[in-house]
Amino acid sequence: MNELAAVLIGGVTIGGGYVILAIGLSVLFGVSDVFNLAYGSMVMLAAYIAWVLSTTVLTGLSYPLVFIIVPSIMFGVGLAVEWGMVRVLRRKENWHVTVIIATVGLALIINNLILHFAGPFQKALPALGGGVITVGGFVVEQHRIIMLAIAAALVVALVLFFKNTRLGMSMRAVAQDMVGGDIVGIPRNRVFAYTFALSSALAAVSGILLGSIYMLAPERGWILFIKAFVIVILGGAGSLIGAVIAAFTLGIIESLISWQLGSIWVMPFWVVALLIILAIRPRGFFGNR
Amino acid sequence: MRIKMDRTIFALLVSFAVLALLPLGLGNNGYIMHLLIMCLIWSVVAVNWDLVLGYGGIFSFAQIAFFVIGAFTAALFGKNLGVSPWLGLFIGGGAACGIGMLISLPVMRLRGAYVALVTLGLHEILPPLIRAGRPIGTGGMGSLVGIPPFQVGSYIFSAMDRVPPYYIALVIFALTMLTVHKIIHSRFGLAFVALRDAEPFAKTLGVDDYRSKLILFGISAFFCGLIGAFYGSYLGLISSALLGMDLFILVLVMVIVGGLGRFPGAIIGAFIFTFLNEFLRPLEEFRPVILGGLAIAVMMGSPEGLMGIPKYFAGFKRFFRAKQEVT
Repeated sequence: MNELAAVLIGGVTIGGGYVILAIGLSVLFGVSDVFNLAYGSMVMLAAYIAWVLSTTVLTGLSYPLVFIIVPSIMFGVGLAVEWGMVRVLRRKENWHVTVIIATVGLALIINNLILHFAGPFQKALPALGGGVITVGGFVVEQHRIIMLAIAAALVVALVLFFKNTRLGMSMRAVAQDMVGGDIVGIPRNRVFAYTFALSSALAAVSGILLGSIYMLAPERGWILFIKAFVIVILGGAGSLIGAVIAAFTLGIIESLISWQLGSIWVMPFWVVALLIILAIRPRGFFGNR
Repeated sequence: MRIKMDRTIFALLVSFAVLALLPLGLGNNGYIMHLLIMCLIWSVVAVNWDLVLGYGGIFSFAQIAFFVIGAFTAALFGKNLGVSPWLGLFIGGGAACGIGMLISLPVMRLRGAYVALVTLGLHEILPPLIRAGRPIGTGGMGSLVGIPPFQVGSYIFSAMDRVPPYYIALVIFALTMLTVHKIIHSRFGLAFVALRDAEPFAKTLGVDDYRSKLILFGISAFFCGLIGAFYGSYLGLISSALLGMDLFILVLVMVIVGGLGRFPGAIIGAFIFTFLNEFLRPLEEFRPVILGGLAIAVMMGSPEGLMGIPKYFAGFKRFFRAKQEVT
């Protein structure tokens, strides 16, 4: 029984990381219809930047600083990629296809640059916090609580951002109706640029969160990308609450499968889940698209 | 009466003839012969990838996965059950085709991005499954070795002399290209081009897109699996390293440099990049970086790849021809 509780707590924690991972992708897909195959690589890139910051260059740099610096860097990277690549492709015909192939190329570039500079050995980020907390007889490691708290705070912040700020509202408007957005004078390109940047910054946060539990390896980016997309599809593109529910559900099931059947079956589970969701309800269970 | 010779088929027949004569000069250079065989192998994969991606408009990322499925299935049948590699070609193709159809059933109706995701998913679950398949002889983390070679009577196609396997590859290559050419120019192929270029209109005319896409996908998977099975029997060794992303991007670059939906283009792409890849090998990690950069550059510069270049000249030609008719 105690073991089951530990597995469930583990699943919930991973779910917290997956929430941010999936929202980053969902925002991009929902608002600008861009299918960024380099997303997983950007998550890994962020995690590696965090690793460089916190272990080699600036030893003992505190985590709050890492959480400010790395997403800021990735925000800039996102702006650059949008401006230099996605926007150029968008102007031409058939851009859905060309963007997918170009982002595969970008993913390969990022992965192999990481491989070159960080070497082939897996890296680990330090835990978010030490110590344990006992809640009603269950022992919970502190870093799991911190992780969930960060994820929850970020989700609340995002909800407020989309509800109350001008940029957030523009993003929702463009997501609903691109032409309508043009008519009321929303600067579409600026919205796309900030959406890509926001997506990259969220990738950075999820990279740090997930990097503090899993080992880092560039190839793992692909797996994270697939997981993020399954969550987005289950929750429905563009739906925050859907992403939250889907992330926790799949995170917990993943932990149970890893516990009962072994971690080899985790990826097959995600792909089978994807096929089932797409066969039953391809729009997801909460989305509006 | 004017005999109309299809230009593509003429070019194909000439290239078959040239390729068939190449071993006369290069036959004793094992390394070059090996590279030529790899050119033929990747041509088959690239052309079939182009068939679904460029002609079918199906965003499939599973062609390398089909290649690996074909290779492993044929190798396991050959090693464990003693099935002849010749039969293994069809077993590999059939397995890839079956799995391809199975996973594409739920997604073919959906937008391209979903197909991309599912097929990428298939690619990503193969390495853990190959690791898990150690008890049935997939080699686990290592390689599957000792795949039975091709054999005719008492003659064994060994790796010592690369010329005989080259001709097997050439026959498979030629048959694949003729089939693909036939498909593209059949009623069926026209339906795809119509679907790709004007989907609502084609559907109005009664093209059943779901069924057509499934069949096209199945054919492509079959050939990828078949050539995968050949690859296994030719080298005698396969491993899950084939699923690394650098091979994936290499073949994808062959397809897009050759030109999406420009049929013989992918063959040219495959020949260029099989050799270029060898030259880039000393660069190690920067080889995929260059290939990735090239993918981006082609998409941004000339999305039709090499086959897009003659279009510029075709424009001139039409211009001059029009002038002649006037005078």
